[in-house]
Amino acid sequence: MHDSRRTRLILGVLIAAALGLIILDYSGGGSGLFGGIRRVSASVFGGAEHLVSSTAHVFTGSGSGASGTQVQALRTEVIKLRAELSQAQLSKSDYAQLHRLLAVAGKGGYRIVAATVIASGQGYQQTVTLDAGSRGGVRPRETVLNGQGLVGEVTSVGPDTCTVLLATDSSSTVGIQLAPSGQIGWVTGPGKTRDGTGQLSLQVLDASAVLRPGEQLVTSASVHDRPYVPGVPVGYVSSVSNRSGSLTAKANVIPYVDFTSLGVVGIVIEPPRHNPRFSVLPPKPHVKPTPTVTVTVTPGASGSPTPGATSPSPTPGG
Amino acid sequence: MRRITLSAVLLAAVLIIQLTFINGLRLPGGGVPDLVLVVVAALGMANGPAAGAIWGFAAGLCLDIAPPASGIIGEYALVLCLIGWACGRLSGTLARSAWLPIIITAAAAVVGEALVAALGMALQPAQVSFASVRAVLPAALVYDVALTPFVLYLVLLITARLDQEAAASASAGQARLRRARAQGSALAGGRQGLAGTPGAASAASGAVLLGLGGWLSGPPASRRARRAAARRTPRLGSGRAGDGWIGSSASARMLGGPLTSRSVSSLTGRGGAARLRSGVAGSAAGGQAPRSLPRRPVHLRLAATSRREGLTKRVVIGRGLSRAAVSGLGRRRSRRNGGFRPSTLPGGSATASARSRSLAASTARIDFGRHHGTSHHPAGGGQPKVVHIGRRRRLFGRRRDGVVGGGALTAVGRTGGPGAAPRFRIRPAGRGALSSATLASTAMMGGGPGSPSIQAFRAARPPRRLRMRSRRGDGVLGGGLGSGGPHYGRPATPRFRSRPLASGRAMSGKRPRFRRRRWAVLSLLTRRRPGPAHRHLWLIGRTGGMGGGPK
Repeated sequence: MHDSRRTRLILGVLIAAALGLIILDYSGGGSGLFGGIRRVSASVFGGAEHLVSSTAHVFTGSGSGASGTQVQALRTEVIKLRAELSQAQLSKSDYAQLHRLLAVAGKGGYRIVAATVIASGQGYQQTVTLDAGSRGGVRPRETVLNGQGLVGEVTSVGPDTCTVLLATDSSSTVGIQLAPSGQIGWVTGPGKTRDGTGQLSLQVLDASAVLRPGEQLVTSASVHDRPYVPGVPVGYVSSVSNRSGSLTAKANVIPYVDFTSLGVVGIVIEPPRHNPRFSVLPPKPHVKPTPTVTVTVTPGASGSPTPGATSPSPTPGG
Repeated sequence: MRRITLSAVLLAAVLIIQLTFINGLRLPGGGVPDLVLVVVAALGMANGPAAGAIWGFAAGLCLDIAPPASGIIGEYALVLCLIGWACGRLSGTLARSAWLPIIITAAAAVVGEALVAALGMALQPAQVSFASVRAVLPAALVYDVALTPFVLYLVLLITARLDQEAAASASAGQARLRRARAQGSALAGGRQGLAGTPGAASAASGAVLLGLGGWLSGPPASRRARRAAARRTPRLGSGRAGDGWIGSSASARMLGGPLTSRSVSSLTGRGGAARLRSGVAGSAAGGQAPRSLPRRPVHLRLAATSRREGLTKRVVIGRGLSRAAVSGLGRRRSRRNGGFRPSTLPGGSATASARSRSLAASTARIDFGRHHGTSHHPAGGGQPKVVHIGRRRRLFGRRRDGVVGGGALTAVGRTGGPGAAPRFRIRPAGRGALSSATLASTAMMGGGPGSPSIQAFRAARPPRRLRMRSRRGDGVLGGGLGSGGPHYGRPATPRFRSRPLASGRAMSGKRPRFRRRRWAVLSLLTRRRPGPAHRHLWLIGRTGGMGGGPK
């Protein structure tokens, strides 16, 4: 199999095929074809991923067979017990996640399908695969959340799996509402970052809005509640960068969800009847030591000049 | 077949592991290793460019469509295809060095990551920003590079193991070969043995055996039997697989490319060090090869290092001896110092011209004329012999046209196509038509094992008569030249004890240089002994007793 004309022919054909696929997919033609391909691959690879990740959970100690000696037997016993213990802990953490998820869902009135993350995206894609699909009632463009807040949006659905575009992906944009003030804006993801938990960047529509660190964000209602149902906690403002040139206020938002350790998540298959508004929000983040201590505001209104405190917003919106 | 299965299973497993496990990892630096990329590079290293490209494309396409993928279909397919091909293309370095393949594979991984990032930024600027690339890429590169040696080693090990197993079950091909020979139709045997794909183990080993030695019906089982056989069999030189057998193990090597141990492992015999044997050209009894040899290409040169050392007037060999065989010349020497040109100078060297494409396009010719290497010379010393090995079917390009001996086999075996045997078209030059002596010398020259017609000839004519006048060191094809040296640590200098050349200044030229072998760590790891110097030099000497050999 040396370099020969045949090899070059093969290479040429393959490159042409790859380029053709890229062009076709990029231009949006043949979307039906690719949809079909993706569906098939979702059922094939999704099944495999499901299998692998479920077996990976069962962390069986690799006892090297009974070797006759008692020490060996005891060792295998220990390994087994440890494995059981870790499994129990694992499922305990899963249980905790599920518990919180259900609490959130109950508070907001979402009807959810619980699912587990079984695979994550390659390269720079911030996507995950969940082990629930169209058979579980999942459809594209549905909100995904977990016990902490917004996770992302379902982009494609296979029979038993679905793909979720995480809110941290730089191509994802989520419409939000600021908790106390009701300001409307949107957050975009940072893409892949070094530590895995990047901060979303917030932009509000109102040019005169004043953002303060610590303000909480929830999703605002989308049209027909697709892709985002209202009221899901997104994060809180960590720092504000009011640049003097920009039209609108910008801020960084720390998401509630830890995207690096996603476990049990829920897919909202039915939006709440009423907008939960800010009721699902966790308690306000404690007064953070804001790095920008040099505020030194000297307004005449509020007397107490406590420099370290973030200006507490008086009443949570209800 | 097994190789294909193995590659498919390996890639599928790696793909799933990558998606379910590795991508979810939380590693310092933000990036995660791209195991699929590294495995594709290693597979390309192990299996050659075509296989590398195909597997890369397949794996990339799977990455593009497997569930969490949200990118553009074809992105990874393109990148991995290129990476696999490039690694396969550079897989020849496996023979040369231990570190180079690792470095190349690591570099391929780096390039692959960079390509993925660049393609992502170009095609999906919304999803892949420069900031995220900058944040993630360095760590990913570090992990890839760190992972590379292990993956490469594992893949090579598995491939080698697989080949050994395949060779162990090579008896089928052997039996087929015997049958074919019994029918007196070696050609049919050759075709039969080579009919399969190169990947098919049995077919390949059959081909290896074919190339191994025309009359060798496989290596005898016991050491004693092997020795006995070795005594009976005229030999050209060292019986090690790594040596330059014209037509025998050389072709066997080339069957699988430089890397495969397919050929080596089928040479299950265990020869000692190279023995000097005065032998007949082409009587390569290459069966006795050590079990464990590093997989490296044979650097077979049908040439002298300088023009005037060779004694055959002119031997032109097409690329049939393949890249592996002539890489030494083709790649390095000929480019650097312009060596190895077919020379028509008086006493011009036997030259394997690897680089001349113009040569390869035409029929290969072996010219044993006694005088200046032109075929039109009138009968000098009896038989001017101009043997044209007819052009083979030009199935896969011109380079593998007429080949001396096993080279033809090589091409056939590798391409897996209908193996066209070299046809010997004898053009009577001077007076008279082809005598049997002509054919005999042809056979000897060509290292007959590969060429069916030579086999047929040999079957008709027992070899013992051919041994009559050949002596050690007198420049019978490969006989005694250069053999044995490297095994004792010091390369031997071939002695040319033939009649002085016409000009008289021939031997004052450069001496053939040997390069010392390199110690390959990979071969150490794979428990394969480093073989003899892979850049062995073989000269096609003027045949002292050959011309008038069998009458």
